[in-house]
Amino acid sequence: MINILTIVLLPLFLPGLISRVKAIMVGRKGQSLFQQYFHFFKLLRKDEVISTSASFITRAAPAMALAGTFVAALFVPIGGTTALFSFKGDFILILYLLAMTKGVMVFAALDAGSSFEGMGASREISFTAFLEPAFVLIFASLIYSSGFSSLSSILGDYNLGSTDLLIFVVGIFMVFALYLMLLVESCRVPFDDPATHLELTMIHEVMVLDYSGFSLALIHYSSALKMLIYSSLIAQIIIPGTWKHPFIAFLLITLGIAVITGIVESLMARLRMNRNLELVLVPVSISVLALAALIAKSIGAW
Amino acid sequence: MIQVLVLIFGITLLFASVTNMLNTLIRILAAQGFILFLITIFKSTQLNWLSFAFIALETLVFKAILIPWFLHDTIRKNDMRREVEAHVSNFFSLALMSLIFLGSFALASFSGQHSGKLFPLEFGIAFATILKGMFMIIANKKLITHLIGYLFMENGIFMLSISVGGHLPQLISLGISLDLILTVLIAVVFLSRIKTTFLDKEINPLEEQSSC
Amino acid sequence: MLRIMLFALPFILIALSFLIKKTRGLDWLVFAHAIINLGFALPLYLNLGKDGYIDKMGLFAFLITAVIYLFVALYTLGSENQRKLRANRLYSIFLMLFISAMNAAFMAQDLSLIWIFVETTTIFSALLISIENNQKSIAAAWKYLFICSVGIALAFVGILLFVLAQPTDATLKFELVNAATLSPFWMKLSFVFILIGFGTKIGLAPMHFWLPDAYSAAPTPISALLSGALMNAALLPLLRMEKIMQLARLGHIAQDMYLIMGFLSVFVAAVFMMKTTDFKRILAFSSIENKGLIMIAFGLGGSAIGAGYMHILGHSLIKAALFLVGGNILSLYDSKDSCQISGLFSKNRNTAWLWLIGIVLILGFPPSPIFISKFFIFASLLGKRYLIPFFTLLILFAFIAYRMISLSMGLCTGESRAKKNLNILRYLSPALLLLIAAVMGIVGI
Repeated sequence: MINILTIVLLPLFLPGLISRVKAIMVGRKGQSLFQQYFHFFKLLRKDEVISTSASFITRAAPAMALAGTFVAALFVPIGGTTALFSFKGDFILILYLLAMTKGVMVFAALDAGSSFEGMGASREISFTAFLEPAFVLIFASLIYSSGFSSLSSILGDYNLGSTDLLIFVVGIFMVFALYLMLLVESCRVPFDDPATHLELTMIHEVMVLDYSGFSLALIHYSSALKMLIYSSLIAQIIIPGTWKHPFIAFLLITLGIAVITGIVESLMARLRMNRNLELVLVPVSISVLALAALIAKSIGAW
Repeated sequence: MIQVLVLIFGITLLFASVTNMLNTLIRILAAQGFILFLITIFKSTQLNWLSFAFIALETLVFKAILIPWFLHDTIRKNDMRREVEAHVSNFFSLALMSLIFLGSFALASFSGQHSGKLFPLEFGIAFATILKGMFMIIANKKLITHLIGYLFMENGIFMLSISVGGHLPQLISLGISLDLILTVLIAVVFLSRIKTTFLDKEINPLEEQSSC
Repeated sequence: MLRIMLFALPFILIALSFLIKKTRGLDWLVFAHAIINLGFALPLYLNLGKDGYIDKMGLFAFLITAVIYLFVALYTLGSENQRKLRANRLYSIFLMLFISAMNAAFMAQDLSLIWIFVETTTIFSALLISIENNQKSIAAAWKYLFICSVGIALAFVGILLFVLAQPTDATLKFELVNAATLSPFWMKLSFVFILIGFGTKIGLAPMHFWLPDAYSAAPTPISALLSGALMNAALLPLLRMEKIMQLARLGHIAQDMYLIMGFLSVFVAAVFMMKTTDFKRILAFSSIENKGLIMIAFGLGGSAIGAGYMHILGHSLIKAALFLVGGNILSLYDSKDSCQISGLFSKNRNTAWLWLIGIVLILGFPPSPIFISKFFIFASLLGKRYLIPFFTLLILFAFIAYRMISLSMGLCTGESRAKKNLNILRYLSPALLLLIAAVMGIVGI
């Protein structure tokens, strides 16, 4: 029950928190914390304008994206509660659902016929292409230490509360890699600037240029939901299994991640595009190292 | 604790693949020296007191302090451009680094079945460091980056030698330290001579590679 | 006691060198060191095989080095020395230290000691190459130092893996290694690294890139010593490791690798020699080719091993002589470019004859020892039915011989303006070296 409530209610809070933190860092008062909710409802009431050169993909994409992300979120254990669905090997399904979301959005971006959106789509794909291996490697590390089963149980077994220092450090590596992936997927600085509306520098924003009204609301919601999924993965790794109220800890961690993201956004600028392409490989390298460390530990002589 | 330090050592290798600045590479070298010093301290149960003190001192003073200082001084004196000029992009370097990690760990795990006294994590990362040093030598244009790559190799060899075990203690460490001291000393002598000889020409020799 | 004397000697002489005020005096000091060095050969021979002293391979290398050193010192006495006192003192000190480091590398029985001494020779020889402070020699010395240091570091990795290969009671002394208990996996890996590492020092392809630059940019006596003596210092550990591999029943792997690197070296030498005009570089490539041949000889095994030692002997002596004669040519013409040199016969007859005889001997005509070794190598190749390598080697030799002889003809014939005479010692040294080589060749038959 709490799962569904969190998935429905929490995501839109996060972008609002991030912009509030950014505003405070700069010295402004900033928008209200619930501004994104107001924006969402405003968009729901508006009419849509759809380009005449668009096909059914443009109409169907936001709904499919939301569906994919939502179903994926149903598999993720949020804050220590059991996930709504879980079966053995469900993380592969999650992976594909998220990929389907991304793919559908990219198709829709190409569908509009504007080369500008095609450019954004290609950049987006090139970033994602290197996050998938990182995701798989992180899951592989988790499986290696806990055995092949559903996402809930492998996340439940592996956490930072372990007394083994190596597991602890490897966990920190995984958290760091997941955080980098969060930054990339939710289009945050240093990978993408959500506030920019300059042609040359947009990546994710540019894909949704053609949307308005109801579709735009769905898209905002699904990208915020993606951020929530990553945050809950991070939180699940951090929270030891023995804590009494994991949900509170989960909330704190999620909000903390949003705050940190806001701070990072205020302190850094978006990096040059070719540097970004290089840096997007970092989660993969870290995950390789983490997996190799775990494997080496289990066959090692110490 | 040792494994954690070794893992952090591995992360510094990833750093070295990503960076574009020479100063960062020198700082990474200093950090690696410090990590090696800590690892030596934690391994002191396997070595006797005197050799441990010598090795720890040598590691800390030479690898973490003196050599980065030498390099920094050389860069400043020779007025070089601060960028690492690589033949290949950072992306390729990082990808190759991941592959090197995979390869070294595969080697370590494959050979872990053959010898009982192997520490696979240290062996794998030491091997990866050596390969990374060689890659830096091959893939970069400046002579100073070649020297830094060689120092990476030295760090990797040091880690390999302290992970192989304390069976042949002093001589190995003596050899490493001798090698390191003399090589860098001579290199610094050379570099200052290069500067005085080339000063009348406008080229900066440390940025050019001698032709075959 | 003997070893203490042998190694204290250079330090005594170094102390003496600070007392000497004339440049010439330093050259006489080096000559004295060379004579005493050769004198040590006899007591070493008497103590052959005893623990802590030298073994047969080491003594062989020691003798070659001592002989070459003697004649190099003699040659230096005969040539006019244009260095200033301080530079010459540095030169003499480093030269004596270089020789003693090589002697130590020959005498050491422990792999780590050999490694340290080979590293030391790298450092001293790099300093010697760069003793003339011009751009070319510093660049060549840097390349040499760097590539060989990387190689030595890899050799050290090989040594570490060798320690890993011994499951119990790891030792680096060659006699104490228990070959039956070595693990094959680690031995193979270790041998690869040691081969690459020490092979860099020897100058095998594909690690040979420092060699042409270093040999051609170094002063003449140093080139002679580098090509004649330094190779043995790095070759001995390889041969000793190969013996251990044989004992561990992995000998065929070592031999295969020797063969591959040997052929690659001969091929590279033949190809690069075609385009080179600097005659010292051509001598350097010929060195690479000969080292490749030595590797092939040891890689074939059996009767070719004796041929290998014979080839080492012949190549060291003859190549040293050729470099000394090359020094003559250099001072006659002040240029290393063979396009600008001609008319050697009319300029200085002795040098021309020496050069021609040297080239002929190194290509393998009798009575050179290289003739014997090449003969046995080819016989071995045929005997093992390696027909394609046999023919390839023949063709490559033909190319090399063509290039060297055409070079020599280009140097020697033609007209030249003035006659010039050189000190007799500059003829005597290479002549004696060639004579010794020829005598060895005849004795070998």
